[in-house]
Amino acid sequence: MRAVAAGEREAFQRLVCLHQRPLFGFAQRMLQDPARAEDVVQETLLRLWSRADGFKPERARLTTWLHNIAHNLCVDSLRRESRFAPEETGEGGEPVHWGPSESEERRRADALLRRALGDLPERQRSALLLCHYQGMSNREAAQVLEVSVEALESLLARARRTLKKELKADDAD
Amino acid sequence: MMPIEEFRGLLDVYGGDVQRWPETKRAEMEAMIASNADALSYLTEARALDAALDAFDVPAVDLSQRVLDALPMSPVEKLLAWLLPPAPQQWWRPAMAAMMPVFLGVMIGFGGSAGETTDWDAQEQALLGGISAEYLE
Repeated sequence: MRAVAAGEREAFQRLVCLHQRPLFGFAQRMLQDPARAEDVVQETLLRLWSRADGFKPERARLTTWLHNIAHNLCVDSLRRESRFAPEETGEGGEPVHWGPSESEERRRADALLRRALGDLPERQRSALLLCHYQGMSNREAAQVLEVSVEALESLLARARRTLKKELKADDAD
Repeated sequence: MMPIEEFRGLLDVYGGDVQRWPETKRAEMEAMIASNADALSYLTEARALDAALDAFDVPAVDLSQRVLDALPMSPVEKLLAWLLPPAPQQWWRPAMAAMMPVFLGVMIGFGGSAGETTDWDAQEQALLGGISAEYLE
């Protein structure tokens, strides 16, 4: 990070290679829109370049710091989307391109999960994504979301309960 | 043994993967599963949700070049980028830059000689003026 703060592009490039995929995974699952997710990742990494000297390793890991930036950018993007969104179509974001062997059942289950995740309140969705997909501890996820660990655990519990209910309701249909 | 509602609450927070459970609670939770049918049912439910979440895959992307291209340029890099354009239509820039020393040389040459003439004339008049005054006395 010191090298990045000193303007060394090679050091920056190494950090980009290391962090771009997890950041894209987070942004894509948050926004369910690859183009906007790419924009978020680019902006997050550019802020890493321009604000490297503001990073305090004693306060958080680099990945936590980057996810905090990406999370805030995703929230901004969601707010903009809700301001300018067209009428709800009921479709859960980008379609997945399954291989020919993938069953109709799996496609349906995936679409359902995406929709259910997308319908979760933003904080609950973020908490679940950070812990389940990004492999963060509750403490790290709480740092990203700038909440207490107890609040984070409450968000996680509510998110999982809602998703289970949604999946069960679909099974019952 | 922990109450079943506490067990359920922990599953809601940590999911069905034993590795994610807090170490301080793991043994107690495992004992609960072994002895309580409801606990096993809640675990099955939690694992089904984990499996559904795991199926939400995201394609791998490589944004390295895009990010590097978007980095702000230093003044030297900006100058170099201006002087060495990629398109042939902009090759007048390096040509103009190559002509700059010649242009500057001509400018300095003309400007310098004109100034010197004026200076010499003034000095000469001052000197001669001084001599004539001495003779007159």
